[in-house]
Amino acid sequence: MKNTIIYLFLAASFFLVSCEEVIEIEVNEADIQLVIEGDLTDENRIHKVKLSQTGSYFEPGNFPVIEGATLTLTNASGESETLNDVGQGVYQIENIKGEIGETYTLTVSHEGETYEAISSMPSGIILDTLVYNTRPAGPFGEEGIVMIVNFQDPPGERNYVFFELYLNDELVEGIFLYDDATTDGVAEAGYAFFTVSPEPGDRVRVKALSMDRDVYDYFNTLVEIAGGGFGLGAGSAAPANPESNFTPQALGYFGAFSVSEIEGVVP
Amino acid sequence: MNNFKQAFSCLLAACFLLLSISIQAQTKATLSGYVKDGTTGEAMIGATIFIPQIQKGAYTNEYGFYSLSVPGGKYQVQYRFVGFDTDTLEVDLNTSQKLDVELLPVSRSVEEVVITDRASNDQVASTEMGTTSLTIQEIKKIPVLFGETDVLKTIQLLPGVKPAGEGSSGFFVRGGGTDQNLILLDEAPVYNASHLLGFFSVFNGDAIKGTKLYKGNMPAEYGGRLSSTMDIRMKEGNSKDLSVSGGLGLISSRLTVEGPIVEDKASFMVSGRRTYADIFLNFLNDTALSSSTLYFYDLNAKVNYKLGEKDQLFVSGYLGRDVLSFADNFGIDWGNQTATVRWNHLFNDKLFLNSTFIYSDYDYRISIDPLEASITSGIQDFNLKEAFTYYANSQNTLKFGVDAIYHTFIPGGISSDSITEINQDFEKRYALESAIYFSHDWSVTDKIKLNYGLRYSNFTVLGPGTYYQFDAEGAVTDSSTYNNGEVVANYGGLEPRISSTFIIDSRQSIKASYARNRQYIHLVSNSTSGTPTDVWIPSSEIVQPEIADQLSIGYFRNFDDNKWEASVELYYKDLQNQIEYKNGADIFLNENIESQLVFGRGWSYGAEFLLRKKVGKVTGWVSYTLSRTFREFDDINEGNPFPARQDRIHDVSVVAIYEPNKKWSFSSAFVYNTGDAVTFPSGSYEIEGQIIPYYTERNGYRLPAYHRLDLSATYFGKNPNTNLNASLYNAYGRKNVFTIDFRESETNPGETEAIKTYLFQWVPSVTWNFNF
Repeated sequence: MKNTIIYLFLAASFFLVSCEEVIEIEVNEADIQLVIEGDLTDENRIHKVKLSQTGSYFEPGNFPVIEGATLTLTNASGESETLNDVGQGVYQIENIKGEIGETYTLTVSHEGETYEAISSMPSGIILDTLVYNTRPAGPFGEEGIVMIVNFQDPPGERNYVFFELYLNDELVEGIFLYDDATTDGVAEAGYAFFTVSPEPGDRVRVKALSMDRDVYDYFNTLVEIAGGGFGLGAGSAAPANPESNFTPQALGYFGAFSVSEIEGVVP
Repeated sequence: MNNFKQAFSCLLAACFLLLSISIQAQTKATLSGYVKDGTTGEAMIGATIFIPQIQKGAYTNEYGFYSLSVPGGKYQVQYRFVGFDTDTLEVDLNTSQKLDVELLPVSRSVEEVVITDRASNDQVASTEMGTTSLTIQEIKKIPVLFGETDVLKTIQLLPGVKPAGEGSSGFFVRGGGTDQNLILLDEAPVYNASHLLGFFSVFNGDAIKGTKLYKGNMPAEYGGRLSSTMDIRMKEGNSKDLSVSGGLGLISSRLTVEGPIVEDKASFMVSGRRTYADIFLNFLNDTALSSSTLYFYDLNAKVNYKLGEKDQLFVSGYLGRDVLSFADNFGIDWGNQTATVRWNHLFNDKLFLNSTFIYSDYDYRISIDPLEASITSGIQDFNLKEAFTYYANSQNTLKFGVDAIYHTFIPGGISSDSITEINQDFEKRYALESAIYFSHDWSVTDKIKLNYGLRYSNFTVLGPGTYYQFDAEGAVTDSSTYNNGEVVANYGGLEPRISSTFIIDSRQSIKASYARNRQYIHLVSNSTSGTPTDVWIPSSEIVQPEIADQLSIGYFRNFDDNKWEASVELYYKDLQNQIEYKNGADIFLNENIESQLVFGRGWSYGAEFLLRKKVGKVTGWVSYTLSRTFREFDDINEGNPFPARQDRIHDVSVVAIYEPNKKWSFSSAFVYNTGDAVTFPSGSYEIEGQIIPYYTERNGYRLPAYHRLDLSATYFGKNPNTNLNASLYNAYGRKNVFTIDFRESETNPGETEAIKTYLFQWVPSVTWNFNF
């Protein structure tokens, strides 16, 4: 919804003939920071935690990985596991399985500093059907197809969801987030992928990753930042690093997700 | 409430004390009446009445009324106003006299201009500092975007007042936010003064008489905002003849009709304006664009009726709306509506009462046709004011009164006909904002003048409604439900105001002032530049009232027989309970908006220099402001102070108007300011396969400096009733930054580049104005 408004304003400023130009900006030297990215789902597979570092802003891509750190995962039932350092900054969770209702603690020790994150796996939403509607011409482009995924929203609890969308088995870039603040307990809730334009015949796969509030807050603020710079004379109103669930603050997150999946073909 | 009673009785006692002082003072006769424009019958605000023999004088008030009490005798009384011929009358004041005077505008002739357009030393002698008055005649001479006379744009050319952004109607006064300005149109607050995303202001130049801006040191009769009060007055309407005036421009047209209803007793004014920028969209090939709409209109109307010698009634209203829709699918429209009813009553030649009833409404509506959904939000005020002015004698003027506003905040919600599940209505909020005040304008001696006052303001948040408490993460921890009329929260406090003038001689003076202001309602904005979807929220248990204390000192000097005015003002302002968002706050359609806010403090200081030439063939000013503005929040920037976005260190404006003869008028305006303080990333990292910017300090970077030159020429043909104006905005085509975005380079994939968006590189416009 927010993006709709922003597109409207962008459209309006185009009426007033705006122009663009590349400019040089000198960036302050920043200290190198640790980046942690860890997922645990209820899927039966090996899960990974990635450690890397920040790099240059204008020439990104060369992010050094961190090997040789000590990572430990513990669940509330007392099981514990030291992650397997397989190189390239990847550490694998091989024994502990993700279970709905369980709470997990990830500890990362690197160069004398210890970071800790706690995440609980909610039961989450169950995907129901995929619906394809006609999207009229508008701020998102010409007339086309809009995909809506329908699901039942469990009543009485707040649900926070991250959708992964695959078109012909290729992950579509973008962070699609949903929370049920306005739709709690709705039997036929839906999420529309407004910015994606599939073609008839495309194979569609949607994965709903339900998470706890802290992890959702992280992704939500990440969207504000990654999607920042949306005009309106200001860019993002309050640009800052997203609040991670690690203490002390590190860049990144550790999240426990319950997964629901649905597949279909665009008619 | 007890506080309120105490303050009330204190104020009353003070009033009576002062009244008794002034009554004892030796006076024999009072000269009072109204000063009006002889051609249109419009009341003149701030006209000077001066008796040179005894060096005593007075100014007309907002309704053109004046009252001057002097020892009995025969006097030569001067009536003067910038741009009008001075009238000198001999008046026998052995008894009190009522004298209405009409002044005639200086004719547009070459020789006379310098001689008759007499300058005065008002800026040196008055107790006012940090204020600026502009008449519509002055405003109309200055070039603006699309040739549309704009009081808000022109005021931004003065020291201490800075535009919120390219083409924006929003402005920052002495480091305050855009929501810290109270903009009044015929006393009614205007909550969103922007049309078309701020490229126009809502004030139609044809309907406006003039404006006065107080940069923080408001007299006690004003309150409610921290940084400034801008008092804009509508024309009353020509009470002599029916007249039709207007203008045809490239993207907008205006029409004003005014005239007497009953000659010299009642008159009316109706003024309308509409833009038609969207007709150009039809020429575009893009079907989505050509089926879009983009326009605004506004309508000002005013009627006044002289009920008798002592009573006058004014009814005025404003209605404006912006409509923006995209290919019939998405639309947003927003606008203000205000209505003001005023009754002036003269108890006698010294006691003037203005009673005002005000209605003000701002709302916006977003419609999403494919979902048959709409989102609405707004604010609505009912306001009652009683304002007394007692002209005790030529040394003492007292003002006192009460003010009560009932606010209704409509945070909005979403409703849909087709998807009923998403229907959600957010609770309205109610509050009563009230104030009582008095002020005393006192000429202590010929050299020392003092204006002091006290305002007690109170803000009560009233039920019905459910109010929530939040934890640090913004999750609801507790709630309390209140019934209709139940008090949810109550705030109040004193706002002392004082300003003093020490007159060194007739050409120079030193002034100092202090003012405290309290602000109980706050604007929560999606961006720093102001958009129609910004939401006003009341103070509550969580959001504390904002408080500002401002100290300023100035030196004022006139040169060359008052033709040149120069001033230097220094100020320091301290701001408490300032509001910012949490990092990554989500405020759109968020019922619990308060959970997304953090609170801190701010301060700003600066020096403002102004050199102004008011008369002659060449007029204009040079203004320079050197200032800093900081904010400090526990939750932002690791608790370290950071420069506010509006921290523009250097700010320069140069305005020159050249009127060589009666056929031509030329003007130019140049502005320069330091770029805004902004936050840019200092590095990057990878999450979910996406490259994410890494931020270090808040507002640690600067946009490139902003500068621009505007030119305008007006030709007055043989027919004095028409003129043709051509203007060029951004004459040398500076590509000023509107926004900076970062994205992957097209030429070097894998690298990020900074892209600046700029608007308005050369905007020419032509407008034909007429007046019949």
